[in-house]
Amino acid sequence: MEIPEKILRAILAANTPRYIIREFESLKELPELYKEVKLIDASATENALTSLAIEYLRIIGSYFYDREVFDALSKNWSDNRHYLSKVVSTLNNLVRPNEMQISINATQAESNITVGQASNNITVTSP
Amino acid sequence: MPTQIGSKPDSDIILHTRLRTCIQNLQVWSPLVDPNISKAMFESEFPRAVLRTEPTEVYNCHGMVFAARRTKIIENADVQTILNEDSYHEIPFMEVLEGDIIVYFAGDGDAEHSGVICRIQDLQGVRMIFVVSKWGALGEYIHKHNECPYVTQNMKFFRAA
Repeated sequence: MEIPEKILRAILAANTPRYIIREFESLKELPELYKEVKLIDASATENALTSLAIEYLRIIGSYFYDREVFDALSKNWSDNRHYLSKVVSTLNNLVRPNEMQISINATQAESNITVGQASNNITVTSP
Repeated sequence: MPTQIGSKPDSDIILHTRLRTCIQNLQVWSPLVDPNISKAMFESEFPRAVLRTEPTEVYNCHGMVFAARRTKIIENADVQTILNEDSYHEIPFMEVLEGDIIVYFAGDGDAEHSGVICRIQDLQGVRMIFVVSKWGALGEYIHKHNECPYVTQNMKFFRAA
């Protein structure tokens, strides 16, 4: 498979795990690339950088699109694999976008109910 | 000369701030990729950047700035802790001096890069700041402060008291 240069650059230039995650996340082809890497054995790739890119794609792609796969991968991850283990732990500590949205909506809903009850059911909504 | 010493497992060292807060770090001893291919990828984009040292993965940019090139500092929270506990304070652009440091912050607040100011030139009223910094798994480069592979929209300059 063809690894976009942006991904290779991100791996090489990264000083922090979040840098890699941001660069991967901003790639519009990420969903398609993730579908492809699910079927590839990274260790069978001769080029070390390509192999690493595939592993990153599998981890970061699963975080965004395939939670069960990500959870399974992150449980088995060794602490001694370059940046990858740090990327996994950073992802584990990030709030997933969907969960964050649900949490915000829930807070808003609770807030609306409280305000409504306190003011004789006049509904006040956040902008 | 490359600084890799064979291939051995990743390691870490004892690293503290001035106030003795422990800083997580990581030394990676096995080279990631062919350094020549990696260098070519960036040097075509930043032709004016001057390569200062060969690629190594033992330390990263934050390790160069805050840990004397001994190890990588990769957690954003640790960089913030160092800035706070080592008495760094922000310096306005026009007051920056050689020896000050620059930190490049991403939109989410991540300190994605840092470097040391090595030269300041005033060319016909235009202040040009040059930085020595390490680019990820690559080597150290001397470059203009806004010519590197990192976001340059939110750069801050600091000096330790």
